[in-house]
Amino acid sequence: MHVPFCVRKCAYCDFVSSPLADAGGLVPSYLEAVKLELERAAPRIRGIAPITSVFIGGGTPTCLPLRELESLVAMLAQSAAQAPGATGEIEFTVEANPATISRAGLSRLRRAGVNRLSIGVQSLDPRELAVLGRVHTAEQALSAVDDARAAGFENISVDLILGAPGQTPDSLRRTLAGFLALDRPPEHVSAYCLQLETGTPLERSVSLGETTVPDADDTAKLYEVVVEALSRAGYARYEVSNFALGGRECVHNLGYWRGGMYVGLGPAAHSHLPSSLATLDLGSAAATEPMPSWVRSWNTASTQEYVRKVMSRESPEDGRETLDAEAEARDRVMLGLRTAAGVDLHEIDAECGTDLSASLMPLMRERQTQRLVEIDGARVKIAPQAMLISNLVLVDSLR
Amino acid sequence: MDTSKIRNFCIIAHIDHGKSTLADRILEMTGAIDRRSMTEQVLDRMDLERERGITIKLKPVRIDYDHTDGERYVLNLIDTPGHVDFTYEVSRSLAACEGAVLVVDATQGVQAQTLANLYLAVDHGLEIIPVVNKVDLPNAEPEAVRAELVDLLGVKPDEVLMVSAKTGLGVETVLDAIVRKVPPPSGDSGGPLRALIFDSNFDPYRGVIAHIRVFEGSLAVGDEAVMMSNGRQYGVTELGVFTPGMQPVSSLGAGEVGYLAAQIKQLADASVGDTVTKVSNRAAEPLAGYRPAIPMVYCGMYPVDTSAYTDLREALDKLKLNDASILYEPETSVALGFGFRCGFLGLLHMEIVQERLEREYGLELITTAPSVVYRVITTSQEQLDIDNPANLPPTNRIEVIEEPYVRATVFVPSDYVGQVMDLATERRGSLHDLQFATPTRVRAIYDIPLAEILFDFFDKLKSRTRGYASLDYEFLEYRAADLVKLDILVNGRPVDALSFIVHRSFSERRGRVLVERLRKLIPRQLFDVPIQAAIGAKVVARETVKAVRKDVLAKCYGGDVSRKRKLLEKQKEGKRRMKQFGSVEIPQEAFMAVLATDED
Repeated sequence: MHVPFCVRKCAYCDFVSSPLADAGGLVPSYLEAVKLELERAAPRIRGIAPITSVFIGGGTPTCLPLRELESLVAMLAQSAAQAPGATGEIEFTVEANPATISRAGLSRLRRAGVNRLSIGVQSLDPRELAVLGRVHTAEQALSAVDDARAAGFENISVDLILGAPGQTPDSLRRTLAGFLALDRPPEHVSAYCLQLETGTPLERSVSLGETTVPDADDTAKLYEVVVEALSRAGYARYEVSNFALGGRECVHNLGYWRGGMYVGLGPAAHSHLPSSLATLDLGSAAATEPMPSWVRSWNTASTQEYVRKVMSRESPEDGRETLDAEAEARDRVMLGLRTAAGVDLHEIDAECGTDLSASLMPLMRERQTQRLVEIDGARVKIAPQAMLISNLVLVDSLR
Repeated sequence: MDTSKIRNFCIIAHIDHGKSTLADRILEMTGAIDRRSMTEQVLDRMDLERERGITIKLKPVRIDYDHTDGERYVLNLIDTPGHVDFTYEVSRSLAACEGAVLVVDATQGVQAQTLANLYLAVDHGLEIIPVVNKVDLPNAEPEAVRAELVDLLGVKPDEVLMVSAKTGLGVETVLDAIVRKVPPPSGDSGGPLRALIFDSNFDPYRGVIAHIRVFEGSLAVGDEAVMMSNGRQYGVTELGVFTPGMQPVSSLGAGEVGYLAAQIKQLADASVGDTVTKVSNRAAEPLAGYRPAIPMVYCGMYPVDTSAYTDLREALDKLKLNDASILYEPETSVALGFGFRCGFLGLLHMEIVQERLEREYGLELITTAPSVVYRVITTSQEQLDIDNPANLPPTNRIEVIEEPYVRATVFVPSDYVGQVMDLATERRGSLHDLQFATPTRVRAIYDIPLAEILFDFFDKLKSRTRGYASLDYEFLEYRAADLVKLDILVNGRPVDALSFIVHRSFSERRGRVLVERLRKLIPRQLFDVPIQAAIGAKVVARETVKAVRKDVLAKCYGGDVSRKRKLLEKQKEGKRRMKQFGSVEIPQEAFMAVLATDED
C-alpha cells in the first residue's frame, strides 16, 4: 500500500509523494478511497493467497494521523489473515521517518499488527542529511531505533544512501559505526546508491554545478565500505543493496525478486498478477485467454485522480503491460539475479512453461569465463565481486 | 520561341546572403508560385536543404514575366549552390546562362565566395547585376556595401540595386534589370542542334531526366537525340520545362532551358557536360564541356549491423543515380568488417550523403574520419593513390608522399588578420597573397594542405574571427611533405579504421589529443584497456580506460520492474550500436574522433 504523503520532499526524491502542507486536505479522501480499493481487491488478494507479507510504503506512512494509520494496519492485517492458507506470522512492514514517530505511537502500531519497521535514516552525518533535504537529525534516527526496540519491534531495517553530496568513506564508516554500536543493531540494512532522478532539486543543482556528488568510482568505493563493514558485523548481502542478520531477509522484497504475485493499493501502486487474476475486475476476458500470461499494472500517480476514480467505482488502474510466458520468465531472471542466491533456470522454466535455459545457459557460460557469474547445475548467480557490475549480466536476460 | 524575349540568368552569392530567398520572392512576384502554395525556399526541394538553409542541387525554373514595357518575357532562373564543396556545380549552371544576379548581404559585404562566384561568372562572360540584399536589417550598411561593389565591378553607384528579398522591397527593380541588361540568347533555332546537359536526375519511370540548355537548333518529341561524347542515340519521349514542377512541351528551341527524357537507363549515358545533338540535324562540334567533378575527400562507410551491407550498397546505388559525384568501392576493415570507401566533393557533401543514407534509407552507419587522397611514389617508382590511410605502404617502400594542396581565399576584417595568419601558419599554410579588398577588409590567399582544411579549419577560422571570416578554396596541386601514418592500438591491437596520416611535426601532439579523446569515448570494460598512438613501432601517446567499477541498478522494488527493464534495454541497444573489437567495444563516435583538434 502506497501512502503518497510526507512531511517534506527530500532533494533527491522522485517518488509519488506530496508534503502534507500542500496536499494535507486530500488525506481523509485518500484514506476513504484506499480502504474502498482494499475491499474491492478482496478477490485478487484471495487469488494470490497465502499472503506472506504486507508492506505500507510511501511517502512517509507515519506522517498520517496515528489513529488512521492504525486503522489501515488493522484492515490490512485482517484482510491478509482472512485470505486462505495463511500459516505462521505474516511479515508486516511499515516505512517510517525518524522525525514522525514516537515510542508510544510505535507501540500502538506494533499492537495493531506491524512487526517490521523500515526506518529511513540515509545518513548520520548532519551535513549529508541537510543537503539531502531530510527532516530529521542523526540523534532522532538513532533514538528511532531505540524507540522501536522499546515498542517491541524485533525486526528493524534502516535505509542508508551511498553517494550523498560530500559523503566520504570515512563519513560512511561513522554512519555505519553509529548503528552497529547500538545495544541491538538493526536486523536489516538497505544501502542504496543515490540515483540523480531528472527533475529533482538535487539533480538540477548538480547539473548546474552547484553541488557535486561522488562519481561512479567513488560510489563504488563507498559500496565496498558498506559490504566490508556489514559483513564483519555478521550481515549477509542477500541482494545487491540489501543486508540482513540470519533469517531476517525482507520477505516482501524477496517476493518482488522471485517473481512473486502482489496486489498494489493506493496511487502509483503496482501489481504483478497472473492475467486470470489481473482481469477479475474487468469482466470475463480472462476466460478467453488462450495462453497463460502475466500482467504488471499500475494505478494512476495522481492522488486526486485516484480518489475520484475509486469513489466513482472506476478502476484506478492507469496502465498495464501483459507479459507472455517468455517475457515473464525473462523478468524473473533479471530480478532473481539481483539476489545472492541467483536463479535456477530450470525452476523458472518449469514455473513459466518456457525453455529459456536453452538459450540463456550458453550466454551465462560466457559470463562465467568473464568471472561475472557462478554456475552450479542450472543455478546461476552473480559472482560476489561482480555484484556492482551486474548490469553486464542482466542485459542478457532481455529478449 | 522568339529568343529576344528569353533571359537566362542565375543568382550567385556567398552562403547565407539570401540567394534562395530572392529566388522565392521572384517566383512569388511573377506568379510562378502563388502565395498560398509558397513554402519557404521553393527551389530547395530536399528536406535536408530546407533544414540546413542551403542549396545543394541546382535546379532551373521557367518564369513568365510581364514587363512594364508591355511585353511578356520568359525568364529562366537557374539556382546555384552556395557552398564551397559545390563550386563545381555553380560553374555548370553559369554555362547555361547569359547573366548573373550577384547578391551581397548588406550586413556582411563582399565575402570569399562572393568573389569566387563572381570570377567564375566573369570567366563565363556573364552580365553581372549587382544587388545589395537585407538592406532593411538594423545593422545593415548598404552604402558601404554599394561602394564595395562599385569598386569591385567598376559600375556606377545607381547600377547597384538595393533590395530586401525578405520583404520584397526592390525585387521589381531586379526583374527589370534582368530584362534590360541580360542579353537575350544568340543561337539560331534553324541550325544544327547543340544542347548542353548541365544537370540530371533519375526518375524510376522516365529514366534519366537531363536538364538542358539549347544553344542552337531545336529538339522535338520523337526526334532521335545523339549524345556527342559517345554517339549513343535515344528517341526523345518527353521534353518539358520546370515551372518549377515538370511541365511537358512539344519542343525546345534555341535559348530555351528545360528537360529531356528518352528512356536513358544510366546517368553515365547522359553525363553532365555532354552535348546533345540530333540525327536529323547533326552538329559538327560539341559545346565546351566541364572538367568532371573530382572527389577530394574520402571516408569509409560501414553498416553498424553487418548484415545491412547489401542495403548500404543498394542505397548508394540509388543516391548515385542523382548525384554522379559520389564514388564508392567496396572495402574491408579488420575493425569494421565490410563496407565502402566513398569519395565526396567535400566535407559538407560527405555529411549530406551520410545523413541521407541514415534518414532516407534507415541505415545505421559508422563513418571513419575523412581523408584526402595521398600520392605515394614507391621505391620501385610505382605511383599509388592512397585514399585510405590504412593502405599506406610501409615506410621502407615509400620514396615520396605527396598531398593535395588547395589555394584558400580568406576574407576577413583587418582587425582579425593576425588570427587568420596564425591559424594558417599553424596549419602549414604558406601565404600567397595578402591585400586590402576594401578599406576595412583583407583578402588573404594561402596555399595550404587540404588535409588541414578538413581538420576543423573552418570552425576554427570562424571562432577565432568571431564569425567574420569567410573561406573559399580550390585544388592547387600535389606537393611532397614529411608525412607519417599514426596507428591507434586499442588493447594492444591496431584498429585499422582509426589510422590516419599526419605531418610528422604534428604527429605526437595529435596522437596525444586523439588517445585522450578516445579514452573518454570508449566505454569502460571489465579490465583496463590501454589506448596507444604509434608511428611504426614507436608509441607516442598512451591512455588507459580504467576497468568498470559500477554498472548496476542499485534499487529495484515491485513498482519499478518495467522501468528498470527499459533502462537495461536502452543499455543493450547502446551496446548493439558499438563495434566489437576483440573484447573491447568501440562506439561509432570514436571513428570520427580523429578530427579532434589540439586546441580547446
